[in-house]
Amino acid sequence: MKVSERGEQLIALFAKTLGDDAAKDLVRATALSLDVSLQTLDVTQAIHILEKISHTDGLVGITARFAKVRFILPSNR
Amino acid sequence: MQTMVATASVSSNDALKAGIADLKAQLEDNPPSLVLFFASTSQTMQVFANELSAAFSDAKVLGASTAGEFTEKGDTKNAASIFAVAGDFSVQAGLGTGLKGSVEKAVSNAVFHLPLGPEDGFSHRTGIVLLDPLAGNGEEASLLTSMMLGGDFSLAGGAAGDDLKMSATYVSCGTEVATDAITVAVVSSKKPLGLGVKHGHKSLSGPLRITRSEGAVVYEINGRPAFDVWAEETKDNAGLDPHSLQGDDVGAFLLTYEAGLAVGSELKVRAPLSKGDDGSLIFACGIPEGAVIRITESNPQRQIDSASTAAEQAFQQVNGECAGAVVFDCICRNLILGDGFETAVRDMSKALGDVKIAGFETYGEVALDMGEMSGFHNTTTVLLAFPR
Repeated sequence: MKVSERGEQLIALFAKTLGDDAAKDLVRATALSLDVSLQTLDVTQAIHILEKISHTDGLVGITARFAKVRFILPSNR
Repeated sequence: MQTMVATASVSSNDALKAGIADLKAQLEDNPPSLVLFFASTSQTMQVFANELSAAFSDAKVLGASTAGEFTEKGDTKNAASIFAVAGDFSVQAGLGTGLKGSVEKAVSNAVFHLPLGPEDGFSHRTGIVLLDPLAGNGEEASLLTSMMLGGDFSLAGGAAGDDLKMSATYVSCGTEVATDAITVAVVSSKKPLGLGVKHGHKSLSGPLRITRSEGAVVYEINGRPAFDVWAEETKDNAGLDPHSLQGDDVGAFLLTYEAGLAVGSELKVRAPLSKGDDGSLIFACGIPEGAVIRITESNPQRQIDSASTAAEQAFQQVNGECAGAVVFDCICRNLILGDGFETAVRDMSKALGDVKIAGFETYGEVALDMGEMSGFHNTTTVLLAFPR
């Protein structure tokens, strides 16, 4: 499944902490659980994905909270 | 005021007074804003914290225990290195304890009184972090430090060491020395500081999936005990059976063969620090289940080259006008380089314009530049250059 540029951007936010493979798995699984398509992801949906992941314990949750700060800056949309 | 940097190497508590006098002479009695000391566990950190805080009462004094320490004159073991900088800087610092139990609380306590922007009269802000890696949450601590301080600045620092005992590491702020802690300083400056980051590792194994982990503990790789997989993948390159290693040799072995997380075309290195009785591996920061890693190795020339590259990066960021630098350099680089480590240290000083440098051998490094998403590194040289 081809992922949109915004979807790739989301994955990239986690890749440096989790590695490419785990980052892709995480974002895809979360998008699926929210019934959101990574091919047509809008900003609101991307933030919902980050919100959901941010409730995870440990490194993944903290990375998501950090990623949300980075993502919602206008230059990153 | 022109920036002045002083460095000293001190081999005992008794020699500390002479070291302090030497630092003052190098600074021509200009009071430093920031003093960093890096002390082997053979030294008494509390003595260094107390004496340096008393001698430099206008400065923020931060410290860390080490796995080795160095200045531009060379590296030492069982000693202490000291870095002091005077100039147009303002420094605030704090310390938080209980890092393992609650990383958010510890970081929050460390940064509570720190400025969220450059102080009045200054236009740049840089963070310096020293933390206990045995808490197992170096990445979380780095990200939270940046996030809580506004995220729009660079962060550099190191994870304390304990001469490869893997038992207890210490950091200090002022006269407070603590284990299981993090200390953070914010340096406000009129010119930007320069940050250089580089490692010299490459893949040794093929891809390996983390199939069971919790926090910084990896229990299984590809469904097998983690250490068994490590031993199998490294025994030919190491020329020995890793299962036969005992005591400090296990730590040294693990720091030579570290994990690499594939990020694009690069590897983000993650250091295993110790082995559990159940064959698990305990890392310096969280390794999530599902991550795909490669075991990495390096060679001496790559380590020397990567240190020089980090220095060149920092040098460019201060527009070629460097007064001195503090260096956070992974202990495993010393293990790989052996006697060649001194060459790497001297090459760093040379790349910065033959300036004074001081630093220590860490169990992990912190470098988070603006826009970056990951702050904790292993087997990496992190160098913070102060502009003239």
